[in-house]
Amino acid sequence: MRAELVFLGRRVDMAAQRSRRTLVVLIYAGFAALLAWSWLADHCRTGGVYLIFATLLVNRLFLGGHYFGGLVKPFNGKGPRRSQAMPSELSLVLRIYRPEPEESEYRNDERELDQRNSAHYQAYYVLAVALLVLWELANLQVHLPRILARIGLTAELAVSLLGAGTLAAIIVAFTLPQAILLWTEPDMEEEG
Amino acid sequence: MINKRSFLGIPLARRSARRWLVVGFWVLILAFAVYFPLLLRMRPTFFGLPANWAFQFALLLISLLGGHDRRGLVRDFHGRTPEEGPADYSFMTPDDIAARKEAESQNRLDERDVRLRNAAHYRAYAAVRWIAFLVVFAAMTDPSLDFARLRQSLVLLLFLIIQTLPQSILLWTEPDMEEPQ
Repeated sequence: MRAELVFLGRRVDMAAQRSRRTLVVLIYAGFAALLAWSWLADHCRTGGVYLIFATLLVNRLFLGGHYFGGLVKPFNGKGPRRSQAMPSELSLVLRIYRPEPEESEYRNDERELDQRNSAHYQAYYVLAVALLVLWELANLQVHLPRILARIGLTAELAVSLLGAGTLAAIIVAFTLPQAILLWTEPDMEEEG
Repeated sequence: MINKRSFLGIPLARRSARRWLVVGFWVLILAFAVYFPLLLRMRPTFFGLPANWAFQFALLLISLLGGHDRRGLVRDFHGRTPEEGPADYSFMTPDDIAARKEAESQNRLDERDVRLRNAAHYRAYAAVRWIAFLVVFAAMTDPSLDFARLRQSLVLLLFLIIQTLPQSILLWTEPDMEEPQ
């Protein structure tokens, strides 16, 4: 895991567990707000696609795990693809140019592989429970639509709710292992 | 990590035998996924709803693979690990403590087991994440009852995959077991 985040050329210190936890809370609060806004706008029909892209962007910029760039090293241990061309002027002006990373910045050691697998084990059961809830909703729609009608859910609304629930589950699926790692890793020691 | 050396008389010490078992299991699960929407359309018979029986059968298949209790082919994933330390035995009678210690000793996961379990979940997670996109597309479809049945079957299939993929990976990848001394 990296001790600092580089965002638009600025370095943000993330060595303290507290700052990492704040980041995780802010990210999930942001996702919850976006999901609520998308639900109110059109029951996540158009906003859902943007939410998936937002998840990928958050992984790329902050969380990492699936890409090189966030706090967590890529889970697959592969470095970023780099072209041999010189960096563009725009990337230099915006200070987003970053030199070729060292191997230790993306290659996971044995301890990190253990932590990665353990985080996925924990996240797996959260996903299983989320899916169980979705399945119950799908089940009610087929077998007991009267119960849904009694609480004011029409067939269309139940489908939209199932869609929004699945979207939330996908957001969680793509971010939870990284969030667990950022949340549980203790304060990093200063390099001496 | 594998609990049993045989299943219904089939020796499972060899990896090739376990792989055949996993293939058979997934054939049954896929057959279930294909026929479940059709079973949902059938009217209740004297023995009840056919879909309910199929669902019970699917649950039985899941429990055979193990991972969630002590009796399956794979050891219980939630068994006590070395990092957790001794259990809390306060307010228990000596007999209860002895019974619980016996159960825990059967259920204990050593360091290698924990590593294998977590690695299997990591691999399974990667697959499940991408399969979940299918459910999003299904979830957003037509609200009519026909699609509702299809949707229910798809979510159920994903649930079955989530519940059994780590166990299947372990059965598939673990090497041949050594002969007992």
